[in-house]
Amino acid sequence: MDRHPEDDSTLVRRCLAGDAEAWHTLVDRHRPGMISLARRILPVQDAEDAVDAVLADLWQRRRLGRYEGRSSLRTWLGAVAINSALNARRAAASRAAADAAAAAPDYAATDRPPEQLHIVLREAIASLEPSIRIMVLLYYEQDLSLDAIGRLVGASKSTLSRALKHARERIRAEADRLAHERWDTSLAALREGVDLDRLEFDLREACGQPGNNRPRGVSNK
Amino acid sequence: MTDFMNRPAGRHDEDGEPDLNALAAWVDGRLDSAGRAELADHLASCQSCRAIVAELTRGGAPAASSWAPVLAIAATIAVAAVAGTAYFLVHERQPNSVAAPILRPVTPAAAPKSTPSVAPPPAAPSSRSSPSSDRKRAAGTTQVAGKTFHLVAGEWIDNSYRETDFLPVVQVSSRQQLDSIAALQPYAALGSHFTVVIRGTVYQVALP
Repeated sequence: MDRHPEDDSTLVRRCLAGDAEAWHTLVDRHRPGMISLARRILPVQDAEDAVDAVLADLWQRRRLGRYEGRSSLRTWLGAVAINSALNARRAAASRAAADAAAAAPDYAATDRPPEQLHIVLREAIASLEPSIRIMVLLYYEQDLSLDAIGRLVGASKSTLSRALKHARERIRAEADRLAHERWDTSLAALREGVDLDRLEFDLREACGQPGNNRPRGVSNK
Repeated sequence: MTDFMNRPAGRHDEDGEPDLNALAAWVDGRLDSAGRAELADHLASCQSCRAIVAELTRGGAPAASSWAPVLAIAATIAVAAVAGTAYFLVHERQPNSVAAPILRPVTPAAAPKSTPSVAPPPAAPSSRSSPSSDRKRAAGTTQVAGKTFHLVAGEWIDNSYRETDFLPVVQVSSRQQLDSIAALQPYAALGSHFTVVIRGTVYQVALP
């Protein structure tokens, strides 16, 4: 898990006491891993910038003191790096979205069936209990594998697979109900002939993964 | 190190910063049961925290290899079964589907002895066959009708209870209901909050 558990806790204490040498050791040890996580989110140069900025913050503003020792230092620094990278990406995306909206406001967006479909699917997901919703979202929104989700939630792959299957059935029923209530139409009409794979694809799109356009069955994971 | 015990797991701080300690602890499999339940609720409605957990997991952060994530979300899945969500857990249950050794708590002998100040112990001990560890936890352990119970967050939990077993769950929320279930009578001495597994069914008692 953590190759230097004792060393890391000692290092943190020394860093918080203002020991610059300890800080350099900590940075040498963990910066590469932080950058590699941030690079999954940002272009390489931006990733390095984001990590260096957050490292400076940890040292200069003593933000390292926020580490509570509840995880390995490596995992916590990874979370710090990812959070920073996601913030940077969100900032860039909102700038881009503002530019795009200014260029071409799309007032008719919600009149289009795909938008309606995504609305009812998202609302149907939101109606699930948190314990089920989080599995659905980690799978369809975050695109985590069943193995990874299983490790997180402490459930077997087969159990998760069944849970997701049942969640899809509930989502389908609730989305259909909402479609009738909202627009006096059916889910099938919003998406002609919805089948399971198609619903999977729609769920991914509704959860904001438009780039992933390959319908994928649960069994593939 | 700080008074994190007073902060609900997952809740963003006053600056809107995510609870990175809780998220990292979850990925490392080190959250206690109360923290995991709180974090699960938060994650279900917080996209940015989900993204952090997902990237951390995808990026190869160690996920609970030696600390068992036993209670947590699996627990809430089991509870949801009562709400009708997980009938499949009852009808399609596969007794051997419990996810393998990774889900089992480390035995005390294999657990890290102690790493002072930066490594809280696993919070929900449940070693099925370790009398010595039971003695160590004597203050939070009791025996009733031949079963061993551990005190977790004010609730007695049957030592044989594994949320990951996904057994059918019966919620007992009133004294009358408790009195009407004969099998539960030997355990009534545990008080108003306990969870016990009897013949393949989980009884979760939470009296007002």
